[in-house]
Amino acid sequence: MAESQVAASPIGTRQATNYLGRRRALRYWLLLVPGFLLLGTVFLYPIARFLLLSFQSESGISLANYRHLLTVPLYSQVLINTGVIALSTTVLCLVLGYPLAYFIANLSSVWSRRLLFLVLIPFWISILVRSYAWMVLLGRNGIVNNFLSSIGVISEPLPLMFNRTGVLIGMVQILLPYMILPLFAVMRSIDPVYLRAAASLGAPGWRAMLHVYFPLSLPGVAAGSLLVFILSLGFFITPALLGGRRDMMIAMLIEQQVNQALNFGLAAALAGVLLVATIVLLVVFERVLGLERLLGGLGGDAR
Amino acid sequence: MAVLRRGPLGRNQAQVGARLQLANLTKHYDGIVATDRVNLDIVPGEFVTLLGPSGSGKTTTLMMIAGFVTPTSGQILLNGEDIALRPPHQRNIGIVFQNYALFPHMTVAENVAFPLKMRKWSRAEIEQAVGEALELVRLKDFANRRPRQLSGGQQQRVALARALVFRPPVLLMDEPLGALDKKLREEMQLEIKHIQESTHITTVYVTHDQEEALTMSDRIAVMRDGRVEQVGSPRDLYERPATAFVADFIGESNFFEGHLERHDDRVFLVTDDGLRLPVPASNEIERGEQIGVTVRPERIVIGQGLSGDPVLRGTIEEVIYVGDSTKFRVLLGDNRLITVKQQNRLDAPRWERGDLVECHWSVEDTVVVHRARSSSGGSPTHSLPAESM
Repeated sequence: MAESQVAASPIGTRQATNYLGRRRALRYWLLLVPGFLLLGTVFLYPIARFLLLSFQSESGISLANYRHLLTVPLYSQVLINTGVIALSTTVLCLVLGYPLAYFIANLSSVWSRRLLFLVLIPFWISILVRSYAWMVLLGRNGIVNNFLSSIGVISEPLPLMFNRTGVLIGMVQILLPYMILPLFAVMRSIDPVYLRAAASLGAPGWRAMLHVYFPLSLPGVAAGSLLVFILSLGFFITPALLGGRRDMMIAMLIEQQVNQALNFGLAAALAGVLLVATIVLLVVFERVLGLERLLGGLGGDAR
Repeated sequence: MAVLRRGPLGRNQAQVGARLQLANLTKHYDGIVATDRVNLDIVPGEFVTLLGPSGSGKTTTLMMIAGFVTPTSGQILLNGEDIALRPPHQRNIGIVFQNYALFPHMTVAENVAFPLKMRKWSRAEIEQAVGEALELVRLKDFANRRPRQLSGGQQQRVALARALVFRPPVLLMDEPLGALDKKLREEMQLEIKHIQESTHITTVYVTHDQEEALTMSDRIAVMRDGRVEQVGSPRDLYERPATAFVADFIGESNFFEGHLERHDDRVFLVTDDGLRLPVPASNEIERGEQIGVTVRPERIVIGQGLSGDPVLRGTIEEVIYVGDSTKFRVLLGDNRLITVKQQNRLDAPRWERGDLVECHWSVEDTVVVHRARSSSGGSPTHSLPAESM
């Protein structure tokens, strides 16, 4: 074996390690080839082909489709809607998720495991089923409206569906775990001694939270927010089922262009915009926090 | 509440620390007694160490003074005022935690400024005080670094600066030097002591390291199982331990137990295995009472052809070289092992395993201890120094 040759040779140890290291590395890279091949043929190649379509239009190869997207109000409005809905969802998830994550993170490990389990259960139910469930809840004759009118709080059913409210309710409910889990992971790793130190230095509860705890939880906030935002951008089923005409998001528009208008060029351009936006956000995430945080946020360490 | 004096740190002002009294301080946890009627009276400016093994209640006591643990009963009097039920952020006490607890998202200067910010000092006042505090711990050039860029010793000094910058009347330190290597620890011990002396701040220090306690303290309170066994100056505790536990925990000791006999006007302790040791006559002890005595290993002379009383014959079982001295384990009789320590002087004879020697010490070095049980509760015929946990 190479090892014995190297050990006997007068070459320095560092060279020997590099030699071995290179051979080992090569072996590992070879192991990745099947995965890359699969990914390449099934994923990268079709997407690349599809995206190429975005540059094709009646006037030949150009950026006409992209220009169309940005100038025609119908389409640019969809882009704006998507951004606004994604942002609103993120903010709502943060506002609702932060206190909950804080609560769970400060319980004993037995209880926090149990509550975390409850947070995770919805993951096992398909988005389609959950969205339909919201339709049952939020409709004019749905459970919420019936209950509220039966106890006399309202006289007319509230418009909770086929509008922005419905979409946000659905999306927040579905994406909340993606906010809670990274937050929890980071909060769990915040040493309680910091809050004790803050108290000993004269900070009452809320000031310690503001000046010490919240800044320390920021990596979780960033991870959760970015995750929720990126996922919201591509949402389809929920806004399709629960939204109105003014709540069309990119994914719905792509579906419409492919299945109805058969305008593949425009659909590909939309897909391209979505892809680029997601990649940009991921790069920002990576630069600011490191990609391990995104993946590790679902169970990793903050520091 | 103590008055905040916004003067410079460390200069000879009439700034004196507070008087701190612990009165019958007790803490129960679910049937476990963490501290049992701890009483301690600390005078202004004093450096008192709570010394003991883990589980002795020293950290619990400190946490009660700090406010993070609520006492089951008892009082904590700061300049006469009972603060036992006051929340920690209202106690105005500086604390250095075991792992420093420097806020990682703030710079050194921001960390030190934090307590002043909480007290709403003006920016100019804060800047000046932070500068002086960092000067006191010799870290003025590190003001804009982050804690993770500092070494352990440096972080510790920042923690100290942060705890002192708002001029609290009391400083608490919870085993702050545990994470440092020996040389650095010894340096820091002296540095902390000097800073404490120059600021006159009343300090309560917790450690399990008896050498540290002896080096730094004005007084030491040795704790065990939630109670204070003995309080005294380092010299008092070392030369006149009240119990076998204290004698074992601070330094090493050889423990002998037996009953008393009087011959003429001399008093002797007679052990079960027949050793007759003279005991200082000044103690008022009843004849026949079961008592214990301890002797420090460095007070025992090893030799041959010795005279005096007692002279005990034994065999050297073990020779342990410690650098500046050598420890010998000497077997007396059938199963009594004692420890003798000798300075490694050039002219000192080099004993070896198996040598037959005689051991002698003077009666003044025989210290009567008032409780016959040793910390391990083991058989009293063995003079094995019990290990400090």
